[in-house]
Amino acid sequence: MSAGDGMTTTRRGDALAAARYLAPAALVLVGLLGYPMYQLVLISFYDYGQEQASAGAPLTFIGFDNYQRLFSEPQFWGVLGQTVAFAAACVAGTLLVGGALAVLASRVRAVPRTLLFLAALGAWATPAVAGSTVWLFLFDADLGLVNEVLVGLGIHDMAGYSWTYDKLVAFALVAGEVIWCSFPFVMVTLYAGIRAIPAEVLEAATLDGASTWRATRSVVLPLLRPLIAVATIQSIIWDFKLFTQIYVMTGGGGVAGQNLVLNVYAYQQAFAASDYGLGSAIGVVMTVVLLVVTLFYLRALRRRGEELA
Amino acid sequence: MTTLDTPLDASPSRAASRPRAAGPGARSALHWIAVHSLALALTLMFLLPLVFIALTAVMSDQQALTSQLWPREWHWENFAHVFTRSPMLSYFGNSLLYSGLATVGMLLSSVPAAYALARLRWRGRNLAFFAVVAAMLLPPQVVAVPLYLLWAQLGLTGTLWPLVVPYLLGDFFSIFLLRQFFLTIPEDYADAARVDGCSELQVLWRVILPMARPGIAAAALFCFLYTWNDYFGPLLYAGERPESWTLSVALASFRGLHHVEWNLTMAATVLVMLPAVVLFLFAQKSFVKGITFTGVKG
Repeated sequence: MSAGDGMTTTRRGDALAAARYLAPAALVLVGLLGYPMYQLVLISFYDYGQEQASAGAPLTFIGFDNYQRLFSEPQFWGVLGQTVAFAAACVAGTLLVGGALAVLASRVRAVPRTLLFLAALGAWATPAVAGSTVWLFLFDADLGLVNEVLVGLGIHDMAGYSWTYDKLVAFALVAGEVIWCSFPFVMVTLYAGIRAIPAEVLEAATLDGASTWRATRSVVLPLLRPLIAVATIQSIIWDFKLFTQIYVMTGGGGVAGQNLVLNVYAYQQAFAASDYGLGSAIGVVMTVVLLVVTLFYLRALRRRGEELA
Repeated sequence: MTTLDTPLDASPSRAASRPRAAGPGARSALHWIAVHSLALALTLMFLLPLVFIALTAVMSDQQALTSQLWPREWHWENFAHVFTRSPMLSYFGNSLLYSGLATVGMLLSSVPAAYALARLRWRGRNLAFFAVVAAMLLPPQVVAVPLYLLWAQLGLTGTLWPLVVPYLLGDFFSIFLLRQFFLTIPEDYADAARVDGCSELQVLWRVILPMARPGIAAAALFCFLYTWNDYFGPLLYAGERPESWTLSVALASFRGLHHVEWNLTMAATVLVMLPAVVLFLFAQKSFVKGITFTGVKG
């Protein structure tokens, strides 16, 4: 946002050109985002089902009934909790793996580094549905390579072990796929940051007798912090709206819906069960949760005296 | 190979100071070996799933049900079977239509918008930029219900239009990305062109666009890959009508239909992945540049 600062002068004709250039985007902002947002809140106060949506049946205002129904549903609280926990685990895993690999990449020669990047970017370019399918295949109970290898290593209990049956194991499997396809972003970002640190700074630290670990912690990390902040916020936003992996890998939310996250839950309620009112209420709750998370994070950043971008 | 290395080594001069970790002695040699074997092991680990899919895709259906790794016979016809056993070609066409139209539309709509936010001087510009960032952060699923009802009222559900139209008007992430790029272009060039009597449109077309080519390439690539990989959108809007399915929706249902034919499922997976991976490898230079620009900026 640096460019806007200190540039209070306007230029004649620019406002008109800007209005022309931005008019289509403004249409999206108002028509496909602002107005739907308003409608979302509105619909959440109505009994809105299939008849109302397609047959034009009269609408009944039911106040907070949808919310009451949602909040008194034990499943909702479970889903809310595991959404937060699952997203947090994915974010932490992505940052750890991506960060570690960025450091590793900065320490190896050009050829292994190129190979490492190619492999990582290959995972990244893999469409989420394809990646999910592959992981399901690798972890298949009877045919999967993973169980085969584990049995070969002498762990015979793993023969025919289903990785999607137990709730936590299924979540871990999905988290693995999510981390596999999202760490390259963190890796590339942080690697670029590490390369941008002047060598003299590190040399000075080494001359002062700092160990590699100490130099990393006291010199590299503080310099990378703005980048880490960006990567974190991107990961949070990304992992909170995760849909594909859960939907595909656990078959729409797992055994008896044990692996539902808010996004999939909202989709199931609104579109599978045609309860648009309840679905909208979930959408409102999701917006609030995301808003709270983002604000908390921005405040934490500000307290440390940092800004995004 | 070298193409990949160039963007990642932003400053070539740093190559000279590379062996910072290495010092004399056996300890550093051991360290070197350890670090390099770790890198190699991880590379193999990341590649293994991809190799595994490719090998399974050419197995016989019987062998794909075993856990053997190497195909006994090479059944290249599996790829053809994918097309004969399902309307894969039409799914391909739909995906191409969605991604192609979205990318072209995004460029037409978002380049001028980003330019207005980066280089035109007008009141309310910062506020408009803030709105773009806020819109970018909101997950599309949140407003899925009202949007779906809106498109249903227009009778356009079951087609690809609800997916494409927003891109024709402007995509907020692309606007953000392009703006960051435009800001890096020195304003002197534009000013010189203005002195020479160019109109704003000419400045954008003749001066800014040629200089922002890497940024535009990155934005187009991001947009194409995002839409190519999109699952939620096509599932929501086109899911009810199989003629409008894109590859991602088709692949998810293909696995359900051909559950015991893992070889065909994997062949279909390879076909879905291939365009994305090839495009990615060809364009990784702008891709990496795009990331570092959005991330590092400021």
